[in-house]
Amino acid sequence: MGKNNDILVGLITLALSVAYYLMAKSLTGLNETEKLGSIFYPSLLALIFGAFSIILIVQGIYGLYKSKNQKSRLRVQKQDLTNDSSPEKIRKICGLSPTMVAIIIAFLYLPALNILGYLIATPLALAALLLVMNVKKVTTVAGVSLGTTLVLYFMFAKVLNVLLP
Amino acid sequence: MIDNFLLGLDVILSGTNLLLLVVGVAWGMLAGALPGITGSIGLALVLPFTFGMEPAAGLLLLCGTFSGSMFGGSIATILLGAPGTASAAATLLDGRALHNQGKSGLALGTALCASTIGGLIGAVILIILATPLANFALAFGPPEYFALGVFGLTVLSSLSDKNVIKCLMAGVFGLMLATIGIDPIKGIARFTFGRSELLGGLEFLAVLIGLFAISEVFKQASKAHFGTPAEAKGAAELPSLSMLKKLKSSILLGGILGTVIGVMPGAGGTIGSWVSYGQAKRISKEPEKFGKGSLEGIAAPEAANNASEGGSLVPLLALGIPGSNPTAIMLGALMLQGITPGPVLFINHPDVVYSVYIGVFLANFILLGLGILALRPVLKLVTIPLPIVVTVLFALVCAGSFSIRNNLFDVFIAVSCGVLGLLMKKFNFPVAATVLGLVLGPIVEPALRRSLLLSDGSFLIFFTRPISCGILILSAISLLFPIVRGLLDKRRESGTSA
Repeated sequence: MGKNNDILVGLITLALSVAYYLMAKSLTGLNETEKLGSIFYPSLLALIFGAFSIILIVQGIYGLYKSKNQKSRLRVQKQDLTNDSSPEKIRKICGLSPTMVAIIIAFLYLPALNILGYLIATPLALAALLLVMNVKKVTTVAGVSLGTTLVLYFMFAKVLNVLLP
Repeated sequence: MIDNFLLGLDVILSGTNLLLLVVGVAWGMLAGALPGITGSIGLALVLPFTFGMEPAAGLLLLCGTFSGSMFGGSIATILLGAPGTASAAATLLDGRALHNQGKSGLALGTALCASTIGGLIGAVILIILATPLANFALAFGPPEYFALGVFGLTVLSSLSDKNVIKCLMAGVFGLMLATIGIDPIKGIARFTFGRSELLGGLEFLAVLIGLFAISEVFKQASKAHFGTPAEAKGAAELPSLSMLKKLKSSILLGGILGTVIGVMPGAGGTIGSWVSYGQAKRISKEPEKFGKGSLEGIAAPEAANNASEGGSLVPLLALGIPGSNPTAIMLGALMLQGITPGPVLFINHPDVVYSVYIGVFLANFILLGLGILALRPVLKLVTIPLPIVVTVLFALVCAGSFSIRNNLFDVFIAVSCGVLGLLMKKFNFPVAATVLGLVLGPIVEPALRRSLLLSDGSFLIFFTRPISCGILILSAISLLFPIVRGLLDKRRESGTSA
């Protein structure tokens, strides 16, 4: 599983290094014919990053090859794992893990800040986060989300003079 | 030198600086004690507040937070069995055993005394070592700075994780992120995608908050349950003088080892505390008690992790190389103020350097005082349920990242980096290496390009100058060290299994 991940991650980072290299090559400057111009350093980094990605892929493939040879040993280990520890069940919310839902809330919070303003968007986002973490008591949800918003608003807007949206 | 010390003392005593140091220690203790908020997150959270302060004032707040978080980490470790900071993990073995025996108060008191003495040892070594090292570094040119940047990257990369390739990839990725913005030599906009906000590069603070704090919020969202953590047993109880006499060799050993290991970029308090624990057991008259509630087993790692603060400030102040996550954040604070750490800092801003010296020294006495006074309320705060901690943390970091430039784009960067940090942790890429790459990028790139311009494109310039060649050899050693160690471990394992 880990080695499969390494191959996948290696392929993604390799694609990233190629994209970065192409973007670096498209940089235009006043005198880009120079050897040590703006293109030089990003291209060098892209090549190093790409080389490491290839090593990671090779490591992953080697690991897979090795694990195939030790298949029987792995099977025993797998049995041990299932016997010893039952992995903690992660709750699902609409088929998504709480982490995924928290990420969605965080990204929705950004436009909400712009549209609704800090004092409305923040307690809504915090209440949603608390609900995601299975806090069901209404007074706790309301108290924490409103209390945190008001304390932070006072601290940043009034004490530090930050122009919150 | 005495003039500079008087200057530093004057800075500390002027305005609210001393109060900021006290607030920093108090916040650090609280942050370290709260599970889910590590010392680094605690530092990242106060970083926005330093923006509007004088450089010395901001650094004193951060130094206090750093000191406080080291001891705070042991509070959560001893009482909850969940290390508040990575460097407090070695305290877990004996701290938890003492807690189970109903002696958490004595365990905390020992940790407090050992942290204070260890921190003082670290501060003394910082004062002795940093200035001569900075004077030596004055002879550095672009090739030496490039070599130093490479050294910083390889040491952290090689020590932070078992997979060296992933560490190096994370470091290079940080260097790639650092290329966003205006080219430092040619002045051309690079990788800005037409966004004016990116012309000055990625906002370091937003990236830092995202990678460390917001990624933790996302991670904890799946783990957090609304349950009350374990209750604290007993109040703080300081060890008696006779007890301290028995512990003196463990504390001294921890203090010295912690500082020396802390000086090495990348090693930090975690390695220092584990090494000290092992060595303290070796020299102890009662090694059999280790792991079963030995006070020496608490004193040595606690002295080491607080001493590592002074040690890790040596390369930061003298060379501009952050050796750990907290010092990377401190480097960020200095850069936000337009100050570049390194040898020139000692000439241009002696007030900053010497106030940090005195601040680190004083922070330990403040820690002792606050530790005795405020332990009881801190014990209560430790019992706050994790969902509430996570929610407040999210609101705080979002407001903090917005306040950097009053710009929602920075909050977007922080949240995006939170997702990136989560993915990196999931696939075992060390986030710290990326941060270090991002920090070292603006030093490495101009140094490399200027060196190559000087040598007409020849890479030999790095090997013909003795200092840069020496540093590059050290870099190669630090890079090969974990590979050789891994191979030796494998051979040993196969030897024992056979």
